[in-house]
Amino acid sequence: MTRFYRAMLGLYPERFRAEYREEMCRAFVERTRGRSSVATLAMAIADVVPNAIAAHWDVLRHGAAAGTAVPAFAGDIRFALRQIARAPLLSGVIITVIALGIGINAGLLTILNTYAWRPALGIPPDAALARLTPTAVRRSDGRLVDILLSYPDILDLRERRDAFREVAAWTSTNLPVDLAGGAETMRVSYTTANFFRALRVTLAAGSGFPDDLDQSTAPVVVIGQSLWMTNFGGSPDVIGKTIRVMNLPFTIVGVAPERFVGFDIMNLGQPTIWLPLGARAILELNAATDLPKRDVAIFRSVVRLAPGIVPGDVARLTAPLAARLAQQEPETRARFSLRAERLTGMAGTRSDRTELVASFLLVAALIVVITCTNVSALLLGRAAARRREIGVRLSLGATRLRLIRQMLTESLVLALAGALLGLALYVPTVKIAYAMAPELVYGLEPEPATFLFATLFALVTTIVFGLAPALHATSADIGEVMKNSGNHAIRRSRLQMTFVVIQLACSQPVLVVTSLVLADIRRGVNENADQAPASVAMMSWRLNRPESDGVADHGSRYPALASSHDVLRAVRRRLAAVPGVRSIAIITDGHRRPDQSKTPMVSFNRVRDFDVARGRVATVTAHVAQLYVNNDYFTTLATPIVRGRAIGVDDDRLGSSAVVVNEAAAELLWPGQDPIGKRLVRRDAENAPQSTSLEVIGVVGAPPYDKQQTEPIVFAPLSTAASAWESTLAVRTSGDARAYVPWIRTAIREVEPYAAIDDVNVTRASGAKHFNRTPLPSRLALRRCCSHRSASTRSLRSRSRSVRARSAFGSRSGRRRATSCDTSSEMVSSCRRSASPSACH
Amino acid sequence: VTIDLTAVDGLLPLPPVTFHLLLSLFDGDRHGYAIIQDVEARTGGELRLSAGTLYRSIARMVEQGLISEVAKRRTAADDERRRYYRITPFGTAVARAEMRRLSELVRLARRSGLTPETA
Repeated sequence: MTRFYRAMLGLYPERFRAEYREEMCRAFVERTRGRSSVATLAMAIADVVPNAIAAHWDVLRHGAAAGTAVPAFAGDIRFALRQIARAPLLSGVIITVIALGIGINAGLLTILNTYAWRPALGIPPDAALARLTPTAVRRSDGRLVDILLSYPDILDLRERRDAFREVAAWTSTNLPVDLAGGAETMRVSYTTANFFRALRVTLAAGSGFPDDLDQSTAPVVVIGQSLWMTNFGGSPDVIGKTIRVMNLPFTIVGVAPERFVGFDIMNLGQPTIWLPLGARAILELNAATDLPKRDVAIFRSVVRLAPGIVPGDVARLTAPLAARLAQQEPETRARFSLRAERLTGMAGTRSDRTELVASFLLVAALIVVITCTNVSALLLGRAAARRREIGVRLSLGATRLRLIRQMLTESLVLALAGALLGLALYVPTVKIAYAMAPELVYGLEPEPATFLFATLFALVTTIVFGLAPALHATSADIGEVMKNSGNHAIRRSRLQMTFVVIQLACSQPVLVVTSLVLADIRRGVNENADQAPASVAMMSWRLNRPESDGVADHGSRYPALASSHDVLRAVRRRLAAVPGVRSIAIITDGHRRPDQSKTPMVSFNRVRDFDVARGRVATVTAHVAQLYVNNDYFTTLATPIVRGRAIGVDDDRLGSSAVVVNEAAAELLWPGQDPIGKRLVRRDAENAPQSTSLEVIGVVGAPPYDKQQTEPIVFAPLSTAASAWESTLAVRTSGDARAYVPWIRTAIREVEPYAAIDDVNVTRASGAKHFNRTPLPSRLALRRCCSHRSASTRSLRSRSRSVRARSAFGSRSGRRRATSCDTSSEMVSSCRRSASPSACH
Repeated sequence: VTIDLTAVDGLLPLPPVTFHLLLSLFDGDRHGYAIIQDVEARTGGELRLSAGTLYRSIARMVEQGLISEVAKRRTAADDERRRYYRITPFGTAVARAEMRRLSELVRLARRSGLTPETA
């Protein structure tokens, strides 16, 4: 071990080493006598490494800590500055490259820190906070999936005082909220009364929910900071004022702190309000009775751990409870377990964040390598141009080490200048981005720690990469250099070529990833822009009123419109009165409103079983997607009628048996035959085992903006749909549809004040967009990594609507899958699974 | 011996390790490992100097003139292979000055009512 220590002493400056090596060895031997080899090894490293660095620093700082005659570090810096000034253009390029590298890396790390490493925005870091991640085995495919909790589960968890100090829960939805400026669809989170207290979130104003409010129907609300600023001017008088949710008055009792939006990344930048759990009873159907039910699993949970408990203990401590719950609900909670993880990031699961962190760090590392190799190549070029100077200095007696140190100092000065420029770019860029598009870079703000880390990382790597040019430049043969002193031609060395290859190799993945992201955005915004009808606005909307088969209930809160069909007819009439509206298409899958008391997930199943006769006796059953559309659907979306006719006004009535199929469906059901007049039987097994005989009256082609459409679809008249509680509206206008969107919204509100309107797009953007704003790369990447397995009710519902809306426009499944890649394949497969009969639950 | 008071003040405040080394050598000449042991004993084991820290401090203190290497061995028991160090008059002056500075600090703290005992 003494030999190892002696070897390590080689890290010290030469003079120091020569002076004290023997003494240090003796002292070390006596100091470590009787210790184990491992301990001695650790002591050797811990002793030598920091002290050797400090000794070198002493030499650089004082010129000679041990009496050496080495010029001071300040001299090297002065010389480096002179060298930089002699080649201002080259130096400027190097500094700019370093600044861009540091700036981009700082930005990436800021995004990571904001969305993945720190707790969700607005929540102070706290080691005691944890996110519960309940899992169970899904019976349909045997996979372990994240599930949600019911309110009784939350109450049970609160009993575990040994594990949790606080247990808070929430569930989210979209509802029309009126803050005196007209009702708008907003994100609404129903939370337990202790939600803000458990998170130690200090409200910007007000006291929040009283402690005993979980099951109370007291109409109180906490509003988001952005709503406070926008609608109430940030006035503290906001407490006690009233806003209307679903046209019911709610008293404001608090304002969330700045940037706080809860935990769902889908909420970023969106106006949000928080209501107590009990408010569900007065706003949502069945909510009054479903809260105590064990099978109403709609809640996510965040906990404050008891003192001394770490997230890893939670599974063990809650194992008895989980086993009991699994026994009670064997269908939905097979192998139920409750785990916890530290409350960091906005994403839903740990694996999501791991993907996010890994991809961002990979890109950051590649950028560092590209930057450093670029700088190395430039430094190498400069070193080649200074070969004569270096040769002269070597011939005059300068040591190689001395010259390398000088060149490294120059690298360091350049890196520092680059870091300063990077800082100058980083801070205003983040601030400007936030000022211009706060919803897109929500929560991002310049962070000194992040920038410092990126700077130190870049400094170290720049110095390391500066070593290669320094070694290369000082390795020249003095005689040859002096003889060829008049020849200033810079030859490309193998090292330079290596740098170029490294740059290209690293640029490739970065460019590919960037191209994919940009292509995704481009496709989302402009897909089929040439062919798609540019003047069609589309939106998904949902009726929040309870359907009652002809009887309006809930008293005067609901207009006297009987059913979803009545509402749709009224909306159509009102929209038709808007000047410039040419036609209106309505598309729905015809399912009744999912009963939230059974499942948090929307039962989205548009694939039906159809029986068709083949020959005289044979009957074939085919699974074909079915959509209910009104008579203007094909006109509005410019879908060509290939054969027969479209659904007419007369066909769009209750009891109609007319259907239109697309070419893919015709080929599937009656290959090589004319489908007009053919009959098919739809098995309506959703609610009752009955069948409906249908007759094909027309065949439509692929819509002009998706000529590759291959998914078979049967279009049935809208009036024959059992329900249209959730549907997609497409409005063809005489000009740019975007200008009509506010009018359309207003018209819908006039008829149905409680409709939740989502995903408003013009058609050229609708073919691929799932979100109601154009995603920037950061947001896109975050969603790509974060949004998938969160499996929140709203998320899946929104996605289902989106997929369904796109299906209504004829987008084929393959294309949907491809364009859905801005979220994960997992999410897409979830949607697709939910579209299959077997996966619905 | 004339002591340059400006030079003394220029070295204050002393790093703790330097002060401990001066205290150790104030008792007599010592070699490196003896200093390590002495400092450890004085501080009740709280300060355990590594060889690297010790000799980097020694190198700096020799350069500053606080200590010097002893050329002749004082006793026959001294190990011939070891290098012994001795505090210089300048080093003693600096140690005294540091002691005065620390005493003054303690006095000021006491005057403020601060006591080492926790409340």
